[in-house]
Amino acid sequence: MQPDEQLVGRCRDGEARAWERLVRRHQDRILNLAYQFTGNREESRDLAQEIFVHLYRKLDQYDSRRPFRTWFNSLARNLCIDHYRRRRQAPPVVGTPVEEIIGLRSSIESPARRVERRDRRETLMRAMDSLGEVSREAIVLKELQGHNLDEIAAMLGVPIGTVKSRLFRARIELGRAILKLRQAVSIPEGDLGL
Amino acid sequence: MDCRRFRELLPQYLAGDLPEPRFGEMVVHETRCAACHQLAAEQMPADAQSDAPLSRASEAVERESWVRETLRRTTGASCRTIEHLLAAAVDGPLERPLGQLVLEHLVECPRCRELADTLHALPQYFAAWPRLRADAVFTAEVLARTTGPMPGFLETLRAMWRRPGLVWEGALICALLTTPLLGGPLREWTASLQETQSLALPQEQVAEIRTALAGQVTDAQSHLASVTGTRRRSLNDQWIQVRGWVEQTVDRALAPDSFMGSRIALVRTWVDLLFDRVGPTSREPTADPSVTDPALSRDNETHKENLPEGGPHELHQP
Ligand SMILES: [Zn+2]
Ligand SMILES: [Zn+2]
Repeated sequence: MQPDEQLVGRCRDGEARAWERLVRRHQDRILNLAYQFTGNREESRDLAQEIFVHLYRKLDQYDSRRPFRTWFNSLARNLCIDHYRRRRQAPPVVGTPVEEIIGLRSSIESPARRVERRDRRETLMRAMDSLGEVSREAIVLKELQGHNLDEIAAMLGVPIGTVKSRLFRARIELGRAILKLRQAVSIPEGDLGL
Repeated sequence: MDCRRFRELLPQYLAGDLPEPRFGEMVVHETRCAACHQLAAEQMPADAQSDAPLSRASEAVERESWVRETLRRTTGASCRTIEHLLAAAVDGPLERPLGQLVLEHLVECPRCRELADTLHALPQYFAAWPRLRADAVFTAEVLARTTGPMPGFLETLRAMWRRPGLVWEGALICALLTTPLLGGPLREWTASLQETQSLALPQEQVAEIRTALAGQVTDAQSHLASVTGTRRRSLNDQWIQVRGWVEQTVDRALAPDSFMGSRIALVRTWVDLLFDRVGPTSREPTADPSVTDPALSRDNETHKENLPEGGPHELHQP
């Protein structure tokens, strides 16, 4: 597989096919990143497209000595944060639409487990919406995108200690939000397993 | 934290302006050390023990209310330390002394216990977050917004037709795309490969090619079937959806060491003969500005051997 950095070089030479390959390679990841920030399918589509349009315009500014992925991640993350900030100022319609799950082990799961999973998903989505942008970002990058602390620190340009304390604060905030939502419908969580 | 340090920090501690994690450490020490606890009790500012009876006689009562007061003043801040540790524990168990500290706190504090349960379950919540997959329409929209609208399906084929090197690719794509509509002539064609003994290919190689192609035809059929009938998809979108797959197939099929690759030279000759283009490969017509200029185009009539004749010719943009 041709490395991203080479593909970008070919894109800059005006090769449309190279650009198409780059889009195809990253579209799933970027779409999911946008979805993790918006929690809404249609919105995430628009946002993800916006990210690619932005990337296309900024390709000339990419310094080919840096890894492309890190650079692109920062760019995508900035747009997601901007979007989240705007959206929190003008909150969208109440209630998260029920999302269709793709690629989950649905056939092996028992109906009870599926219901449990759906409950968790809806609770999580609503709880995430109550987080501030810094906390949401910490959760998205660490817990949903699966980056490690070093990567996040590089992406955000902050010391690793800062990433850590943001992440811990975000978890506490999220935990409290989930607790509140669950208490509203009074579902206790499982046994304490410390 | 030892007793000497406790005494040093005691004024700040009692005034309530000791930052974490010192504050938590003071609380822990005090709950374990009777002497320091006594000391703290004696130095407690008067306003903090407003509900403590002043009578020496009811010392037991005084002591109890003081404990209540201390708890009221400390649990808030101490809970903050514990919460922080609980959040850290999501990544893995805490080291022994810290884990012990947390457990001791949890026994006393239902608020933190609830939070601990929820934080402990967080990974399961994260696992429930749905994953999306970008579809063909998404790709098409991104490309349309960046490199401009994708060339139409027929346009793409025409462009290929104008490039002799890609005629075979175009024909193959055509065959693959029409297969689902026409009921599988390609499948028949691949079946007919079995009779290609005269090509002196080993039997197993022929069989291999045949199964590979048959499988791909089925893939293409199901692929197209999944595309048709869903929302806002044009022919163009269908093309984009199968394009990656088609390209892969063509690449594989046209590899120089493949059966098809070895036939390409032959086919090319046929194609060239068909279009009377034997000799140097033709230039790219649309890339040549002279073609769009009528005057120069007329001039090109004199270099007829460089331009494709017949069908491709009338496809030029006016
Ligand atoms: Zn002591
Ligand atoms: Zn507590």
